[in-house]
Amino acid sequence: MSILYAQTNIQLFNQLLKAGYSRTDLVRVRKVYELAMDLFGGTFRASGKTFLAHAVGTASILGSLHARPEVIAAGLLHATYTYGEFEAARDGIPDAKRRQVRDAVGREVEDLVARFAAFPWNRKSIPLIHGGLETLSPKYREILLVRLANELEDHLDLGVLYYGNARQRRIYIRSVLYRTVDMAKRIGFPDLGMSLREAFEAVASGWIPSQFKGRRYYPFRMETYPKKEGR
Amino acid sequence: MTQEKHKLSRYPKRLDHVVWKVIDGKGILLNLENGAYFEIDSVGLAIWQKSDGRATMEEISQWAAKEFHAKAERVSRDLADFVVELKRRKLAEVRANPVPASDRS
Repeated sequence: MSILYAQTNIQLFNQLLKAGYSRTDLVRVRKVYELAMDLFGGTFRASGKTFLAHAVGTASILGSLHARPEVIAAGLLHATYTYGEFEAARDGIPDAKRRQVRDAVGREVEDLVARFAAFPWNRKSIPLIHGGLETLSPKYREILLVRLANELEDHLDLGVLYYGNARQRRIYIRSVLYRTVDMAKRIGFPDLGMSLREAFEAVASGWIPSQFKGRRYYPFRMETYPKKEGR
Repeated sequence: MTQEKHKLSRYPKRLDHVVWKVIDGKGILLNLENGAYFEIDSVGLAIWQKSDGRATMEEISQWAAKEFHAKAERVSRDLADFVVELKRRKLAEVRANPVPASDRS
């Protein structure tokens, strides 16, 4: 089973419209997308894929799961406090950043995004969250859902094989990330679990020409200004 | 004494941003707001499990005294210290009233 998820804003809007989300919801998602353009305009995944495509893809996965519009919006902005480019301070989450996001997308979406940024997601925390899933509150189940959608988006199309650290990523899938398959099922999204499993298996057995592999491990930003003189 | 009584009539409650798991009889707590971990022993775990905002400190204290065959006074004091520590680490709150029925899962 292979589902195509949106990679552009237009595909996302059309998908949500078709899925029955209201006009009000769409207007809100569009507004959120505009902020995402500001924040991630010149940013790329380590694979070279544009960050906006990844953000849209994450929101699209959440839309396919019929998540609440606020959760879809949080999916679009999930990396705001980690990779978003703010005019204000660059490090941490100072109040100015939070205020800017809150003013643009509302308190609830901003709160989800801030909680996503703080949500511990690593080799040590993933097994504990997996083991303690039953103790996770409804709000944090939604945060986890965004996290799982983010993982799926990252691994679709063999995405992580284009990273400079593809080998380590494969080991990480086997040793830790594979738990997300069961997590998705247990929080009520078996299709997401199945998609995660398929994506992980594809990465485990997939191959790309070595020339296509990037050198970067983490997202990066391309500075486009100042332009060269004489252009 | 009045203050002690007052404390005993309150309801300790685990906070929503804590996920926890039982490993080898111990509780491992993870604060999802800051990524901090805590380990609590079997007695602490039993109290943690009871701290759902429905039972008062006094009720938990009486239950623990019976469960662990300890003196009620000692248990009551230890429980108060433990709950203060949970509060300090932003893992639990102490409510004046029980959790409303609609919030119970």
